[in-house]
Amino acid sequence: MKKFACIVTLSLLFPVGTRGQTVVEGAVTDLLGRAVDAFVTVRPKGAGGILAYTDTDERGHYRLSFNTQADSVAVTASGMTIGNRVRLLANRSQRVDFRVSEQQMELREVTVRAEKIRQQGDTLNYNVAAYQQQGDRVIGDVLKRMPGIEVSDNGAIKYNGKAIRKFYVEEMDLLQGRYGLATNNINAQDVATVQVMEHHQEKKMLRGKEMTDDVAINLKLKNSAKGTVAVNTMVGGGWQDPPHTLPAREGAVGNQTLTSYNVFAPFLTGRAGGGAVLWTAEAVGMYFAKTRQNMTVYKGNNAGDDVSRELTSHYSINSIPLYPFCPTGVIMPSGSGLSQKRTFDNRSNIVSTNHLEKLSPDKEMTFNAAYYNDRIRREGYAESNQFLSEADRLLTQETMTSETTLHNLSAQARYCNNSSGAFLADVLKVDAGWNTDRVSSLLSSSRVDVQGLPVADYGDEQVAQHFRRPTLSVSNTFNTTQAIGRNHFDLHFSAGYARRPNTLTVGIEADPPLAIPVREGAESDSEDVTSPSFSANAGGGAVYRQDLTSHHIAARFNTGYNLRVGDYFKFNYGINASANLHGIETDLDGFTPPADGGWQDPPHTLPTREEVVSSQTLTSYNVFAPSLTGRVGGGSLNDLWYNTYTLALGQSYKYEIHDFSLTLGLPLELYAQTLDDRVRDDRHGYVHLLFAPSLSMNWSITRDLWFNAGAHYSKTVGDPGGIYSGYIMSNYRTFQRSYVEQLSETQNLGAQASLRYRSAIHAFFANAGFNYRRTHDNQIYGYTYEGATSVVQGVNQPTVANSYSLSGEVSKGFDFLRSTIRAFAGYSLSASERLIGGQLYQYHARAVSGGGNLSFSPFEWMGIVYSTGFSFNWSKTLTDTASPQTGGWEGTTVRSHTQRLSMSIFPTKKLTLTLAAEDNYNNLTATHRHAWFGDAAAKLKLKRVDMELQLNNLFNQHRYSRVTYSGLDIFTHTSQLRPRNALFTIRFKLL
Amino acid sequence: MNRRIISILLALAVYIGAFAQQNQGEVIPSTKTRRGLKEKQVGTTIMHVDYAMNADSIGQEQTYIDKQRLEVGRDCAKYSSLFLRRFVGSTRPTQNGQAILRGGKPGKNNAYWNDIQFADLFFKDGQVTEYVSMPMYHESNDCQFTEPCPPQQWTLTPREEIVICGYRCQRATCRWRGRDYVAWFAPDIPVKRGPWRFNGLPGLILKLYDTNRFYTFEAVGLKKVNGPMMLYDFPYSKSTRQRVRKLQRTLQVNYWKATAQTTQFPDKPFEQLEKE
Repeated sequence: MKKFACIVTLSLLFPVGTRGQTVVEGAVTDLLGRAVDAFVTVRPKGAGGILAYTDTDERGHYRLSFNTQADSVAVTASGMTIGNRVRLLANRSQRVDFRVSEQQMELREVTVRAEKIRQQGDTLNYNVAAYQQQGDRVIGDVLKRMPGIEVSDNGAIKYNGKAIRKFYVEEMDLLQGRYGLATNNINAQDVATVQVMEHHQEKKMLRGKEMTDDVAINLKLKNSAKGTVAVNTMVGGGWQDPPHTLPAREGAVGNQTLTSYNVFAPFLTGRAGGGAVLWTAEAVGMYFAKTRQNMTVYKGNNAGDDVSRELTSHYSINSIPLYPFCPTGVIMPSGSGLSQKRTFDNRSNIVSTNHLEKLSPDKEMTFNAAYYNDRIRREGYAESNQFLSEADRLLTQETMTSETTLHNLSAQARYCNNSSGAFLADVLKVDAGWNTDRVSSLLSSSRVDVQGLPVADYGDEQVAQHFRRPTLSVSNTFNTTQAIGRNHFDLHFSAGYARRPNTLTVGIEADPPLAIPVREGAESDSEDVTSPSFSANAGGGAVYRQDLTSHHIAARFNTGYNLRVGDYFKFNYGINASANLHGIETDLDGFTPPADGGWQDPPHTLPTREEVVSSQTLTSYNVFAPSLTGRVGGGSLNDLWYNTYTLALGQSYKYEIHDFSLTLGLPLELYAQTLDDRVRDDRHGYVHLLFAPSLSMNWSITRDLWFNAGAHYSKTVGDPGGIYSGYIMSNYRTFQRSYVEQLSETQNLGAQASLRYRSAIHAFFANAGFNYRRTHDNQIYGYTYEGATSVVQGVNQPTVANSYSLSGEVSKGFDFLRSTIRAFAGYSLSASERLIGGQLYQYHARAVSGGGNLSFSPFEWMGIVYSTGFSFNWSKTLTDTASPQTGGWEGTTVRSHTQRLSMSIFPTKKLTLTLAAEDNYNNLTATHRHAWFGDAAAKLKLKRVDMELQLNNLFNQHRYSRVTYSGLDIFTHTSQLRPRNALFTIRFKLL
Repeated sequence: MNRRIISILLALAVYIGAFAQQNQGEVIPSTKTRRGLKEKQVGTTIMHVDYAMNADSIGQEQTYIDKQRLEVGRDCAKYSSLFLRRFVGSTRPTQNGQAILRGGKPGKNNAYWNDIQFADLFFKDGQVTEYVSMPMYHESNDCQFTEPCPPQQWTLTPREEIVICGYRCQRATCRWRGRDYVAWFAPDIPVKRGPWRFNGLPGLILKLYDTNRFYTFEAVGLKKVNGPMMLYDFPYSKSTRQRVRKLQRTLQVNYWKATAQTTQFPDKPFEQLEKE
């Protein structure tokens, strides 16, 4: 009985029993019973290849024996005279005879003509010659035309919606993530094939064992480009029209009229004047051999080309993140949203050297160093129209000019032993920067009622900001994976140190107060405005100096033991530990700290304020500094160490069959924080137990179609930004302190799903994704206003935010007209709450975006690229004053649209002419809603020399305005553009 | 003596002109190769398959070492070089009728002879006959030999598939004459043949390479035909595979040493397809 029970139990536990060997035999004969020369194969029904095969003998007999777990099998008799005859059978030993008539073999005739994309397992091979056009110089130009591959403006590459995780040249990672150097400098004609490797596993020892979802790109060079030193150089010069100064005032933002001043000219005199001489130069040396690779690059220009993008690291080496605490910065002109070349006023130089030495087939050393120097000037004008209360709005205008000087040096050395038996890598990394920002600006602000009539005018201020922000960081990362039988053990250890000794100095000078037009009957609060703003300086101004030195020491230790259990299960257990030590020393001069050292409630009583205010942030326009200093407490010094430690038991459980995997993560983390505030002589600590479960699923539905989905939950406690009791000048408008009495708690719940499809044969790629995120906080930041002063504070009131997004993308290559088409679309929805003036408002935002591009060649002598993109953004807030017809919702739609048409003509094989036109539209811009740009270029390719003449901004557009809207506030940013310019370059190959 | 001087000059010219990109020896083909040979019908071709040999980029003939054609008949098959056929077809006698001028051989490294390209294979009744044309100054060693051609001992990998020429192909591996090979065959094409002497898989081999990738063959064209299978009427003397392979290897390793007994040129590394 016990034996029977055991058998039953085992049968229940292992419902899929192991099948024995199956034997299928029989004969293949013609209709007359004569033997046929054939062979017989067997395969599982559905997916899967041939398991066994045999020939028929002289009597037509055959016998097949095989093992498979499939319920059914397909037995096929094949031969040149009979074609393929298939029988579906149950998977059991049996006799199967085939009586067949003669049948002509079916054959799809094929002639390969430079196959554009070729699939080989998980690797897609893009034939570079098939996508290259006459005007293309570097491989990055050709990558943009390949279906399924997307190159973003910053040089990052995505394949079918996924960012690539590795970039190789001849299967070696010379550039360690800075692959912009390769895509912008390796000649297209030197590359035979671009390989996209799906499910790429970097560690050789795990290939075929641990499948990843990572994508890598490998450039296969032509033989002529291997083993030879190539040196390419370029020099060029040009001329740029004189810049236009920004106008005094645009006149309107949305439906609100702004008053006008004419005080901006003095700030712009530095930029106004004659035209400018442009220059550009580069020298690129490359060597790619089997055991050694080198790429050394110098590039410099003042022509608006942001060469520093080539130094952007697009994937990390899994080094420890270092972020020395620094909440200080300057307020600068914001970006235009246009292509950076339109606005970038630069004097850039980069030098980079990269060397790889292959010590043996498995071992390699890599060294990368880069230096970047730049002087960037920006000029802009910003307007904001902000909701103060349901009766009033705050209008501000600010004109700014800035100059940023950058000196950044980074170096990295890596050793890697990547063999089929073990993996070991160690990376030593050093980064240093000596950077400064200088900004001059003029700020004016006023308050208006809902009809736009002025209530108060807060005058003008001239502001000078100077920020020195040197940084230094050093880190080392070690990783090894060792095989232990069929299991493997992974160990990761990284440690680093970073330091920021920064100083922000601000000088503010108030212009004489202006006569304030006050509407009749309105209560005047002008006495606050007319009082001297900067009592600290008898001359009517103030100087603030913020010194901040922060240190970050970090270490991380992860282990993982991967255990295979049976054929279908993998368990992973590990101990993970980390330590983050933040040292913060600050000293603020020129600011008088509040006398009482404590927080006083703002005038508007917050409805649900319960306990201690956890953090305080004062955002003040400085005309109100005296009134604030009288009622806000706290010192101007900080000297503290804020440390966090984690110790976690990592555990994950994976069920995997060949097409499907399900992973459950159940990490358990002990999280500790300590604060040692030496100014307040305060020491305390917190300990929490955190749990962050996750579930993910991957399913290969077919060979070309994948589905994955996942969900996760996590909780974070505390915030490094909520720890300091002394005031810090975040920027000249904001003096902030933040002190933890009760820790913030944030719970995150997220879910995602994505579907990806690719067909190499049809050059068709598609992907779609869905994301959901829910955040629950125990605190919310509330905004209250006194005059033009906004006060931001956190209060202990729970709040929930939800967001949903859908996105999709398709791309397809056609042989017809050598065309490639790409289209994308996205939709997002979010719902959250805002606390303004003590009242809670519901806030909803929706966005729809879409676009695409089309590249085709209607004739051999012409190539056309058209790209377009649009976005509609709706955001609205539930208010009492909104029209009942809208259900109480108040909001606006922002529509923007951009399109660009570029046409290249090839009159001869040596000459390429390119004309491009571009339109940018925004429906909320008061004037110039359409901004048109025109560019032209001519390239002449001779035997050893290439010449190019570029004419940019032919219509001489001199400014561009971008409007954004967030429920109740409207922001307009106007940027000064690079004027019309011409640049002539000559390229030649030295070696 | 003259022969030796000419050889050295030729070697210098070739050596200086193309010292890179070699995966074969620097052996000069004969202008007399197959000159004047008549063709005879040996069967009926029902389909043919073209293979790119050692291609850098499939579809671009200039990147192939050779383009070869498998002609399949009901009871026989033939395997030969298309580039060599074009090369032979471009033969023109000079005005005095003595010398032979030949156009350029298509493909990569087209100045050279190699042992795979200059051999025609004919399969019938489980036997293969190989007709071998030797390089310049070695025409007297042109020969043929016949031997059994059994299928390789293949191991199937049912889970691995790729698409070649629009056909789903399954992976199989074997070890044959000193090398490990990977083949991708199309079960939908019921022809148990492939490039060179590889055969026996349950479907046409559309791609084959050794694991070191010294030799790769990949189908670049398939066509149904119904025409005569023509074979040169080679008047070559009989030999054995061992002797032929040894001579081919000697020529590839150092053609000039084998031809002019000069030691001025170093041996070239050579990976023979059939090592045993």
